[in-house]
Amino acid sequence: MDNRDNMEKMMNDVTEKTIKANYEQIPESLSPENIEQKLASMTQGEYQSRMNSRDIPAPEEMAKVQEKKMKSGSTGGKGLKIVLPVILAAVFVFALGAGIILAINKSRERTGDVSTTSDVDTSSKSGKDDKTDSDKDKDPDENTDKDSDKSGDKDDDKESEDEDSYKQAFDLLNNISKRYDEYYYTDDDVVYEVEEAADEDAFSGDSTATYKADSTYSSTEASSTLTTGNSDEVNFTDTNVRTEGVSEGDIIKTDGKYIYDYDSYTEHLEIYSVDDGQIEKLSRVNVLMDDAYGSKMYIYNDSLVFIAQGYGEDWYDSSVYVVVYDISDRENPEYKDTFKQQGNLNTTRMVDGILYTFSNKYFDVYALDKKDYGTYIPTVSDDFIPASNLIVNKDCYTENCMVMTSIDIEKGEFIDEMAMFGGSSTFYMSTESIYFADRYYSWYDYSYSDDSKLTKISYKDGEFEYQCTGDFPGYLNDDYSIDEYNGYLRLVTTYYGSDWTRKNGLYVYDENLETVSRVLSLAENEEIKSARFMGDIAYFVTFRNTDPLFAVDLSDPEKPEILDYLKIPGFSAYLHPYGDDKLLGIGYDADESTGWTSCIKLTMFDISDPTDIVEEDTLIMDNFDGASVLDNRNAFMFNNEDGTFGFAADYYNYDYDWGWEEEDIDEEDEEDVEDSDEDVEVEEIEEEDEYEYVDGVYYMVFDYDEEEGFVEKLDYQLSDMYYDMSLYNTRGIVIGDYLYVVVSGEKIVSFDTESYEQVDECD
Amino acid sequence: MENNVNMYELVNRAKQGDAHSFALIYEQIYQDLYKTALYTLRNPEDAENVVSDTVLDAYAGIGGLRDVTLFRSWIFRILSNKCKRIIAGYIQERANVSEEPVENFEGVADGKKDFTEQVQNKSLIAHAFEILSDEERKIVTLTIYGELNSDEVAAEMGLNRNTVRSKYSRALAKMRNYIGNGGDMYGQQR
Repeated sequence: MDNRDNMEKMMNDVTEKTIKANYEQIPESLSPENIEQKLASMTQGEYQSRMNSRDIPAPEEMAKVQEKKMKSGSTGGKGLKIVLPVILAAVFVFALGAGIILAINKSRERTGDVSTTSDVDTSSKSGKDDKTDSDKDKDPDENTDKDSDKSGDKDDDKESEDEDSYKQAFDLLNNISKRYDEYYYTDDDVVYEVEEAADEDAFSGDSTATYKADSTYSSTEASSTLTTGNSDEVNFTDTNVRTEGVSEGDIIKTDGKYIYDYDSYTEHLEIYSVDDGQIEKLSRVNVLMDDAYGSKMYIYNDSLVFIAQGYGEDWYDSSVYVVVYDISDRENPEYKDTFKQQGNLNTTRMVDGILYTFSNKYFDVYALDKKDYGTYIPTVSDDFIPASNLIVNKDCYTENCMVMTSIDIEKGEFIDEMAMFGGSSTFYMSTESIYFADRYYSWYDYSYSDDSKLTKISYKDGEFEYQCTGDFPGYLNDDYSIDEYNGYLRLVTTYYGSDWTRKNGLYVYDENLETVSRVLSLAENEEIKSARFMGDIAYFVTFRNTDPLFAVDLSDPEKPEILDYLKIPGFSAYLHPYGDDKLLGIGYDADESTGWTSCIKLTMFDISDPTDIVEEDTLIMDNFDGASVLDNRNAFMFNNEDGTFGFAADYYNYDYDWGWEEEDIDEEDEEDVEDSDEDVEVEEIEEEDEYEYVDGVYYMVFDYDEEEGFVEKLDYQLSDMYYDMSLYNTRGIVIGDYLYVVVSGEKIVSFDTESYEQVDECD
Repeated sequence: MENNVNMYELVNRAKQGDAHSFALIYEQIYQDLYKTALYTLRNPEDAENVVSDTVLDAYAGIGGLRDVTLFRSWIFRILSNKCKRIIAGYIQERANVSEEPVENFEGVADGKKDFTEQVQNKSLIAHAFEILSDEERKIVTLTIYGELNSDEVAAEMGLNRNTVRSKYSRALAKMRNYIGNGGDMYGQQR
């Protein structure tokens, strides 16, 4: 436990220093010289008016802060005293890998047999040497015939053909290291270096678009699909996932009879049997590993699959472990297998008992050694990925290699492995294919282009096969913005138009990622906040100050048609289909006076007629300012048997007058609701039921009724601490007629789904 | 701030109206001021203006600062107050033009002339700030660049100290995840 805290603290310190040290070009007008000039030339009138500026804190206010400081014994500030030169040096180290700088000092010889035949597909984008790179890379889709011609021409190339992808990997990382070096030169030198590098490498990805577009928003990761699993006896809610049929790991799982909980705090697995609301703990197994900590798990028949992130000797030289337990005896789980691959855990999926694991292996571009494959080729089970299974996207700028493996859980063996430089922007896995979206990078002018590159990889029965690439302008919000359906791939993207305004577009591709149709220039100056494809209709929300929900008909893939759009305040960050003709939006209400996105908001859209979307009901959850579902779709519970849904949310009363005069603020927190002078804003939820919340985390369950709108069914308090871990660690599971609220590592509480009376509780 | 004693001496002199001393203090903190403004407002031009505005206010108003050791906290709170009003302005502007055709919408938050140029140079950290909410951005910038402690941030934002701490921790975790994944949004939740 101490270690974990220390780790957290260490990571926080590193992050703080990285952020603190980040370099930004300061405008000339703000140079100390210019400012001094401005100060000196200030007129007496301006001086007087500025002296009384309303933005200057009142002396009394500062005095209060000072009092606090004396009491807490703090000397003020974070004590980040970094000397500037050190900062500058650190900036570049952190600049792109940002903390993920690997120090691979181990000199490794290449081990294992590397396939001697070049895989046609994966080498299709190969540049053969520096001289031909510039030609090659302008067209990433250039076919393989030309490739083999070119490699045939090069008699003096000492690398054998099968190692081409290794060489490409080396060249890619080498170019990145050169790029870093250039930060250190003076202005004059940079010009010189850039020209030289451009001549030499000329990896021109897309030289027309020369700027780096906005990054995607993070808080909207959530979204999901209706997934209610079926067991022999009862219906139960499975982990909420992106794609039905493609399972996602989580800290809490069920198979309808048992609930499995991974307690990340003590590193134990706990198995409970549940029956009609009665809970019994069967086992508690220590899964602590010396050099790894767990993250998520899967249940497949009698196997429990546990994913762990290893941290190895060096924090950054990490591996991902897949550990399998035999749970045929639930009271005595037995260890079975461990699988290992390099990198930081990115994500996992499971389809038909095959686990797909994706990790990001970062390489230290300063430690590159051409003879030492360990400095630029990732390993699986300590063997290097064969050259034939390595894809290098030269038009991406990344030291990140995406390592993919498939494991047959019951047989206990790897099926396949693949690695790809790139693939770090957006990941989406349909029931057929894996898609990676990456921002193109132009080596010519050293910037990200506004275009993204899609890479499609099939994974039938665990066999990875590179398919093709495609591109689109802009970037995806998350994996709900991209969807495969009936052989077509559809996506909604936010991009910059030629006039530098943000726009949104919709693309439809065929199975070869050839564009079938597109709709461009939607919702200028807004960005996509959430999306949901429901069969032939695409719904997405863009945000400015209101939240337009768009509906686009894709039943004719060649002629998408915008059916309707509806504007409401705030925005929905997560959309979930609710029955056939409704769409549930969970998001934030925006406070127009301060600009903060203030509290959680539920909206039900009637989409029975997509040409006329109606906002049926909205519930503003006043003072609830966080919801687990908005960070993690897996935390959302949806019971399609009765239409109830649940998630953890945290409540904090902002109206509280947190009086400076008081000795201890912490004690005040508890009583603040009553003391509040202005409880006008707490009204909405109070109207519903006269309940006054105290600060803390709650598990909320709602139902929706045509007549009454949203109906709160349950508000079970998980913690009296605001932003407690229970906000993230709690899952609701419905099995039959009972709801189980599982607080990882703490307890399970069961409720009757008729009355929402508590039935049982088990630690 | 390597030498706080020297800093306090300078603040004292600045209180007497010495512009050069004030400029010397400014030199020690202007990068942090600018980054705070830039990441809070996400608009280079507004950040530039607000820093300049802040410094002039601070210079004129420094006489009212009783405790010189609070200088840093004080000036960052001026900056923060100004940013708050600018953001409120953005919102207001958006509300005003919401019914107008989108063509008239430029220049609200990021449609400035030199935006293209600025966006090119946007650092990974700047991107990482974009994944935060306005409130989180403010907490992180005030804590790290302003070097305010949680009490001071709490006072500035009208929040509870513990709230500030937990929000700060959460925001850092988000950014770390983002940065650690090289700008990858869907990274793991450990």
